[in-house]
Amino acid sequence: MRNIGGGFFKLLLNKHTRDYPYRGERRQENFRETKSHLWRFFREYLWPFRWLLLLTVLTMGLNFNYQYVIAALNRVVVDHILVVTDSEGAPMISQDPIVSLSIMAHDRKPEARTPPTEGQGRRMARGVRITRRPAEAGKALFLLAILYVCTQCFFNFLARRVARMKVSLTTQVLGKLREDMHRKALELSLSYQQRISPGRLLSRIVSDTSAVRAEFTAMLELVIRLTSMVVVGFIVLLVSEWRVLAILMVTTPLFLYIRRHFIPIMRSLQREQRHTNSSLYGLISQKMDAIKAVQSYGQQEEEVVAFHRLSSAYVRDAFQVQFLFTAMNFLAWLTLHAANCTVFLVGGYLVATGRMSLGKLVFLQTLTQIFFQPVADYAELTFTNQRLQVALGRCYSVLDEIPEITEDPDAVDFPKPLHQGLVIRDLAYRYNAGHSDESPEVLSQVNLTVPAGEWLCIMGASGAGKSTLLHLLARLYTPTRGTIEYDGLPIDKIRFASLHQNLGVVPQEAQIFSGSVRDNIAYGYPDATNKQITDAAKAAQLHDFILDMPVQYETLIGEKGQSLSGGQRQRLSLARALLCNPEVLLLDDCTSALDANTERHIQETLMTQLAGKTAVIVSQRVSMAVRCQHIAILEKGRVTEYGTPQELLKLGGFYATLFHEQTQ
Amino acid sequence: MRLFGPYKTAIALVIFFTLLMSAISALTPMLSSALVDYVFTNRQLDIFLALGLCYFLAPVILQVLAVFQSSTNVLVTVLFISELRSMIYRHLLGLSLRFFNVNSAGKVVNRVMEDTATLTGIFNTSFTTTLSDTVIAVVAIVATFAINWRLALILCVAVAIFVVNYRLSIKRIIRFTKLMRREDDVLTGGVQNRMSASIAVKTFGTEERENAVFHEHNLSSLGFNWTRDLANNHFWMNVTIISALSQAILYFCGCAMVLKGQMTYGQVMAFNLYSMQLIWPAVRFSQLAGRLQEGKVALTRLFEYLAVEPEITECDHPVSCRKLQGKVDFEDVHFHYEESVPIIQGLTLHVKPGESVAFIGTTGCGKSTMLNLLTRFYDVTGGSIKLDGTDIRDYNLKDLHRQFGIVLQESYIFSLSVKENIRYGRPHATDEEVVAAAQAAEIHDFVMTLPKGYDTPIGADGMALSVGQKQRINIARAICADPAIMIMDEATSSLDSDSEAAIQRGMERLLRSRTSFVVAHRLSTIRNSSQIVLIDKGKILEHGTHDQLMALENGRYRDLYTKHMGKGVLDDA
Repeated sequence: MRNIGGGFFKLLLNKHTRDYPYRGERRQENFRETKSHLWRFFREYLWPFRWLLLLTVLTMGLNFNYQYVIAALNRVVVDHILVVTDSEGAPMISQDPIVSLSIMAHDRKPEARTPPTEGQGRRMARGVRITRRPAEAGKALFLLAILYVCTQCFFNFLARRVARMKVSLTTQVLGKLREDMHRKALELSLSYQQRISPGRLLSRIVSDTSAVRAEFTAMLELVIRLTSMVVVGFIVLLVSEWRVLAILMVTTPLFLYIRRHFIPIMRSLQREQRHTNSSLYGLISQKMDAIKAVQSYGQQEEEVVAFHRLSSAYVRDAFQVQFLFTAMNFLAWLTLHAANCTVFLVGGYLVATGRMSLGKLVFLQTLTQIFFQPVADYAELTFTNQRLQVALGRCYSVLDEIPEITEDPDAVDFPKPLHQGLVIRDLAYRYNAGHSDESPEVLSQVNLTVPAGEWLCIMGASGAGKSTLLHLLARLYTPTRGTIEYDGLPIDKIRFASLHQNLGVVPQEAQIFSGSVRDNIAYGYPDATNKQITDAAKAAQLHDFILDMPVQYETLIGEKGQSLSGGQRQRLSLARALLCNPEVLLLDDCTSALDANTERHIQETLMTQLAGKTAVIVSQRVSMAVRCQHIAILEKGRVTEYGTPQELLKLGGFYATLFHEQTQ
Repeated sequence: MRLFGPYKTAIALVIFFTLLMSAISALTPMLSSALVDYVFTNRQLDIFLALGLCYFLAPVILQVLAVFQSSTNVLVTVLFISELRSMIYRHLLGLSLRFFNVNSAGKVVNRVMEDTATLTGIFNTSFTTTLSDTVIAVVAIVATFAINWRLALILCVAVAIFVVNYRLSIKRIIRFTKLMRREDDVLTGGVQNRMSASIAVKTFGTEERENAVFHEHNLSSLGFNWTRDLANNHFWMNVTIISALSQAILYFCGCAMVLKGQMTYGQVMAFNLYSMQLIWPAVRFSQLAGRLQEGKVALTRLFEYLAVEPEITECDHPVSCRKLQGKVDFEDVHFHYEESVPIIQGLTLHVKPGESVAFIGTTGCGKSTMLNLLTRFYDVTGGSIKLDGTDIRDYNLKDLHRQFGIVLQESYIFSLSVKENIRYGRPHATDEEVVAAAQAAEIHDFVMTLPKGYDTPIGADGMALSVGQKQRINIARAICADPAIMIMDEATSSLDSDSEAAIQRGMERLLRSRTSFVVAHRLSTIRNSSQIVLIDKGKILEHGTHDQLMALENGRYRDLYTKHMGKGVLDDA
């Protein structure tokens, strides 16, 4: 008890620092002032559904106000049916305490044949006028009950229609938005996809669009509820009782002030708490991954301590959030409660002194409660809007991106078969050209020629720009300067489809699609026959491995299927490219994960398969380089050595060193 | 249960708060009823002040109590959970590699975090809400029956209908949600696949095809989204209409009774308030069994982990040791995971202090297993491994582990500063020792270019490092730990030749004057080892220095070496 009781306030008073090991700085989300995307969103995505939207808005607005109707019906019941009138039909306003008991008294109909009860008799004896309910009170009550039930049913029916419309509307908008995003994401160039990581792009397409939908739905409801209920409530109060309106006009701003003041604090605290929690996740997964290191350095005890420290930070955060949250809610609630009590008690006093009817009091109390509902929402509105803007901003940041690589309208087919070959002239490239994070040139002044039917091997240290060069040859990037020509035809004058058909690219990182092995190999040529597919697999030294798999070519691989090793993926990727029988083959170090034996086999089959084709091959291995007619050495983005293997060996440069290193 | 021990008083406090709050909230309808009946209509102004004050104060007290109750409650649960997490985490850190080979890190993390979080949820909400629900429900039932038993019966029927609707709808919603999730997973998986394989998509020009696939996925995902949302709406609309109609019936029946003089209007109001209090507790009661089941599942799963006995344990009287010399003897070592599949079959090897040993062989031949046996990540199933003449099973585990410096193919970087990463194995190493280790691993110059030098945070939240840099930090860590025996398991195979050369230089410095075991992919890196051991199917096939092995006619090593170095290929060209 002591540690909890003692720590209770201490935790609050000491603003605890959040500087713990394994808890990095939380990235600040900046809601920078960007121009609102709402109008654009409305024009591009909502306009096609404008009639549905209008209908939804109108019915929703109508539907939200049903509470006022219900409150009005209650008032009628109390004031006109349950009320006690004197024999003249006017509501009883009497200072006589006994008379005022009458609301509980039996209804004494004037024409009643039964004798008056004892109490009535006593009152009559004292000269008090006989009281009575309004005529036909029971029947009226029954009718009102039916009216009441019908109203409820009607509004419920309406609400169901609204919900249906709303869901249909937002789902359709979401579908359209998602497809546009996906189309755009595929259309954008590789350099963009690399700048924004695949994971982030994925969350743009899936999560942010869903967020747009959720926030938009919330926003729609909030705005309609707020406007319709406040306007109607204001008018009703103004007409029925201005004094209550005055009370609300005083307490509402107070309430809003408290909410607006505390919510940002709360949010930042909650974010801190979430961050601590995810840091805990990070800590554990890091250590579980590195369990070998932890155990081999004998650090178990220290790890438990580190975990415990972060864990206690979490405890503090959780407590702080909870306490402040409830305390803040308490303050906000207190203003509401004060207003409510004022209306109920002062109104009650007026009823007791006969200056207001009970029905009106009940009505006013309900109105006060209803009125505060949208007011409480108002504080939420800003944040919903903020979240909607952020989500929309993210979506539009993708949609607004201008594709770097587009097809020339006058583009022609790839020159097939290739007669002269491939010429690279004064090529230069820098990443993120034109962006704030522009890199220095990764390639500059690259001049190379690959005559048709010959092979060029590109070698160099990692980071020398080999892969970049290959990507430029496949038009995955656009050069910053210089040109690439196939048979004298600049690469940007070739039709996309034709270019892709004739270039076979095997990237360094082999790419696997979820699906069968067969689908994966036939990815670029879905109509291939079985024979063609097995031939390609054999050429890539993959056939035997596939035959060992449970259902061979139909085995599922990728995310939900069997996982492949790096070498197997590379061979699959090679088979995929070979199947298309391309005119020019671009291989990016595609045998790096293979053992020496398999590598040699592949090199040998490539020799026969690609005889007569043009190829550009990035490789680390001298054994590959000696099979090529030309070798180019790239160092820091420049070609430092170029020539036949024999020439370079004589030159005694990088290649010669590498050659001796690998063939000692 | 003993985990709750330290929090007894706090839990008692929470229970006390909860009971008090429920009692107050159960009484408030009485107050408004009394005000309407006695003061407003009956004009007993003498009790107006007292009742009015109560009417204002009761909810205020309630809310103040709520602040304390929920905070204490959260504090207790969170403390409890973090204690539980620590306990499991401590246990996990002591388990052998076999456990982590079977259970992926992701799964383990999920259990530690998610299952404990589930438990938190249950303690945090279910416990207190059930408590207060019970009190409120009992008071409400008693009060409604006391006010008017006929209306109370109608109310019971309404509540029953409400609960039935809830149970039925929630099943539907859960089913649709599951379907929706499945479709969403397909959609997400597809996009993820396409985004990470974008080079293939672009080079084969299949954008349109992929867009069409996405269109289909999108349609079915949205379809289920739509159905789920509608089912959800349907449920809420049912809730609204059931509560509205039941209230209407109760209200009008109440009013009719007022007309007959069987009830007062204040009582009708109170009755309505009580009926509203009764509905949600009833629903929550119906959920309770499911929630408890969830908690039980989470708890059993956690206990499953706690029940795993650490395989590698210390003997009864472990020998403690400081830095050993590094004499290693493998005596007829046998090892298997399963009886039928032997991994190591009778391997004997003697290593003198300061010698370097290289294990080579095809994947799965058992070379990494040898290292795992030496470091006691696994225990031998036959024979023994002696370190400085003493069986490794007789050493104190912590001391034994400190004899080894291990650098593996994958490098581990923790979310700490560079300095803390390097001295991870020996937290008390001085700054000078850290710098010396970094210099030996050829990473010092790089570290000096970082914004905060050795204090720069790296890892998940910090600076991103290249593979080579990470590996060099790992080597610096091993150097800093100053072990008697160094172990390198394919430490450089994922690097390009430049970084490999840099690391090679660092390693040579590291291996000097220490016994070392190396598993290498590239044979060029092990030529100078004092012993080269070629393992095949758990047995030593060839054993000797580079020159000895090269001298063997038709030796496997010689064959491998020539092939690897590209001699055969050169002849062709």
